[in-house]
Amino acid sequence: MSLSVPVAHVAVEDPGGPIEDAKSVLSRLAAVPGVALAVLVDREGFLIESAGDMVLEAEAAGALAGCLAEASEAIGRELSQGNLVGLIAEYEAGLILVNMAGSGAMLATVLCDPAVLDRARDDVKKTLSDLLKVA
Amino acid sequence: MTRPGSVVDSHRRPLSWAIVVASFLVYLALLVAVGMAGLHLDVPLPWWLTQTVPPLLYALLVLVVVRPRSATSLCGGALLLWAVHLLLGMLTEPILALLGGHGASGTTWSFPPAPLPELLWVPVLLVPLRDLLRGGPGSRSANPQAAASRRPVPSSRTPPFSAPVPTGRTPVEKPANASVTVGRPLFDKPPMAPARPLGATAVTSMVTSMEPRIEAPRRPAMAAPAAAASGLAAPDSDRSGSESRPAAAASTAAVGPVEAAPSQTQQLTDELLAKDTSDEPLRVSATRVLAQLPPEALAVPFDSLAAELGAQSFLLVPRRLALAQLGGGIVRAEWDLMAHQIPSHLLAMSHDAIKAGLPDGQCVLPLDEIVRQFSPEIFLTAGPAPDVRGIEVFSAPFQPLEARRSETEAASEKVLPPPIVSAPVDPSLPDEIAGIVPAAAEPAESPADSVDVPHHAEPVLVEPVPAVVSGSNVPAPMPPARVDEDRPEHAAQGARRPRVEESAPTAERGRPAAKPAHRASALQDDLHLLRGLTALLPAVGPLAIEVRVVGGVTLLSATSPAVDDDVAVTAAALLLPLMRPGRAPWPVDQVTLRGPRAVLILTPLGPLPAGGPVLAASVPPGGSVALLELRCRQVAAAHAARAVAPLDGGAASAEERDEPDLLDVEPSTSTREVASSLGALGTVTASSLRDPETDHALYLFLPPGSDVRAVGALAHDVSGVMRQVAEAGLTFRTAVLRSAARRVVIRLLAGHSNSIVAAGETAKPGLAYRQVEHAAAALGAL
Repeated sequence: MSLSVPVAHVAVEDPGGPIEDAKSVLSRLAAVPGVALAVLVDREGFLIESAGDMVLEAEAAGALAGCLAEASEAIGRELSQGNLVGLIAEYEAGLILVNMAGSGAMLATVLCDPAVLDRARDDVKKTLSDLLKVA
Repeated sequence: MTRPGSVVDSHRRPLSWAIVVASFLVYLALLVAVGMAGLHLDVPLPWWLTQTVPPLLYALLVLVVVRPRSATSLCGGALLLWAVHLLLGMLTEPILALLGGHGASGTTWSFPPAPLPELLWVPVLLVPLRDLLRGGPGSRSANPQAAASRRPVPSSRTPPFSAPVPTGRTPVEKPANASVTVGRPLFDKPPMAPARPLGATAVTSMVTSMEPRIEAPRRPAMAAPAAAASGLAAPDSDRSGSESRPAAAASTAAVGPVEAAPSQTQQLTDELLAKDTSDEPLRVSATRVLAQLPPEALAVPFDSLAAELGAQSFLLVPRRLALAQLGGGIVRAEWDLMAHQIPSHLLAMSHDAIKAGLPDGQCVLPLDEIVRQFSPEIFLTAGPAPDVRGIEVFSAPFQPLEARRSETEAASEKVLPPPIVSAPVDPSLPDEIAGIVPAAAEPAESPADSVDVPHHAEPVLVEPVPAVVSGSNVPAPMPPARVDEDRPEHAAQGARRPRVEESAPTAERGRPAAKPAHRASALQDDLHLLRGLTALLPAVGPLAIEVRVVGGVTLLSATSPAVDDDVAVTAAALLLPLMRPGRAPWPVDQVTLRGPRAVLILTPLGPLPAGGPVLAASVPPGGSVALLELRCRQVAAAHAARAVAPLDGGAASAEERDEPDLLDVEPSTSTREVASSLGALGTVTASSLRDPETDHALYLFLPPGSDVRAVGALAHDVSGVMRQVAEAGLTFRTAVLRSAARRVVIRLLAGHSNSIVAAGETAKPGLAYRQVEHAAAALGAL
């Protein structure tokens, strides 16, 4: 199954099971030093799974990431840059990475240490790949 | 020595070499005098020390005078001087011996030579070689771009040999005389503010003249920003004399008035400097700057200046230098700052002469070009936004004020048609930042007062909001404010449309309605609340807000222009009865209808039997839905914190209603299998109900022990509402009834005949919705 697979084509047997494995994938990402939170949300910003130290903020983080991605997607569309793949928002206290996970979900990663950005990006790529496998 | 700002490098200036030649003649004269007198210039020091001192001394001189850009330049300069020193010393001693009467036979070629007297002349070589030994980029005149990014060359008030910084982004060193640079570090402590408040008009208005403003001298003296201290533009400083003033004196003179002035302006300038964090220099038209020079200063006609400039038609100016002066309404920069950027062949006069001809050696920069290069957001002050609440309700134009008041009073005696009022969103109210919404205003004593009295909102802190929203959001573009006195199109809806009352809320609603003033005040509160919501949703886009009365409940709607407002209201009206206490097995905190074209979110703010109000937000589906739900719940929580009656207060609705006669049906095996896939909602058990009248089936997946029939009846009615709304033109496929952490997801299956009802507590609604979608795909295909 894939997050990008249309719902109508999704197998029925155990649709919830694979998604729940996303918890372990996200936990691996959240275990990277400097990564405070990893949130998987659907395209409307509703929480699918989360891991990390800031799980209490996961719902709000996911909701805001959904909004952020939608606005950013509009910019790319306006400028004929294609679909949104990901974005990095820099703040005083850290960074937020939002990456599309297939066509139906997105991964928001909160970094409390900007220095780990390079490594985090690599880990996020791997996480996205893993999520598409388990989902 | 070479003046800073000169366009010609020191080694190319004849004067430098003339100084060398003249000093060498003096040196020779000294030799003759010493030789004739028979003096000995030996230094009473150990030989190793006398030989160590010259290279060290030359290195020190190169360091101080040349300020080399690299250690290589430093060592190279010192070695060069030392080599000259040794060569000259070897020649000097035979000359002295010759002059001392020893004749040619007495000439000695000692090595290493004595340090004196050549030590007296060799340093003079630094005069022509200074720029050459500095290293780094070549001639300053050859690369205006690089020169522009360097530290601005100080004026004549600045001590010579000030250290230039390497070309690049931000200088990191701070010389003792801290001059202004392109980069930020020197503005860590922002310069003091102009005594004149920052005015938007002054900043944004077009400046077509480069002349200083006439009123500039009348304004209080500007504070001495770092720019002034460095000899760069000192905005609005006393320009009565063009003679040079010591920087310290200028600073002292400028600081005086500022210390006496209120700190508000300084705060505003500090705020500007803090907001703009870019290091990118500003670009101003070179022609507009050169137009300020006397005609004789230009080597080419002014008309052909633009063509001569070619690609170098812009001059670079330190960004924060301009920002620090914006408050004064005029931005100036020292000629030295821009001189290097202008090709030398365009100038017929020396830079010194040009500078002398400019007022204080400064040019006025085109303000319009400068302002355009700053983000408009930085000019938005953090102070309170204009209070427009008093003009939200107004009568027709061209009516006298008294007549208006009379009409308002008269209108208050009549019923208020729906929508009561609609108004544009003003999301930038300062007291409506994330997580804080205003409390109810004091009821006014008269209708007129109720219009004019501003809200003395008392912020109520609600649950922490990890919001990225601030009170300084840029307002979304919205249509002009309007008050619809009548919306006949609502009344013209078909019979299936629910009754939208034409009356104002009554006293039984618990909201003040007996007095017109109170009614107006409640209206203001509603609008205020809606604004609070929209202020939390800057990324959602513009939302039109309206206040209506639907079925005795005040409906506060915030509707995206992309959603059909009437259909959304219709859906809300149909759903409201289902949200009353006792109708659902659990108190309903929020209902969300989701469809392919619209999402409607209903959030009760008060008990529905008492008239609500209910927040109705409708937007297109997309990334903002979860955030909109979250914000609506936050608004409801804040509203509940100051409400007297609890949200679920009051007895269960005693209304007569037709309970659907649902029949129990044994769930199929596939239905039971689906139950195991709804893990996000916890443990659920499968059950099925069927409406014998319509033959609609309900597949229920509820936590063990749930009242299946009650939930089924509610789901049946909600499904019916979605079907009704679909007939009205707006399709909703899913309804989510939320009660704290518990959610009831009602999903119409394909064909809209059957429904899935899944309920449970979850912190992962996205996962739950996906699982319900999977279940719908499975059951819909059966």
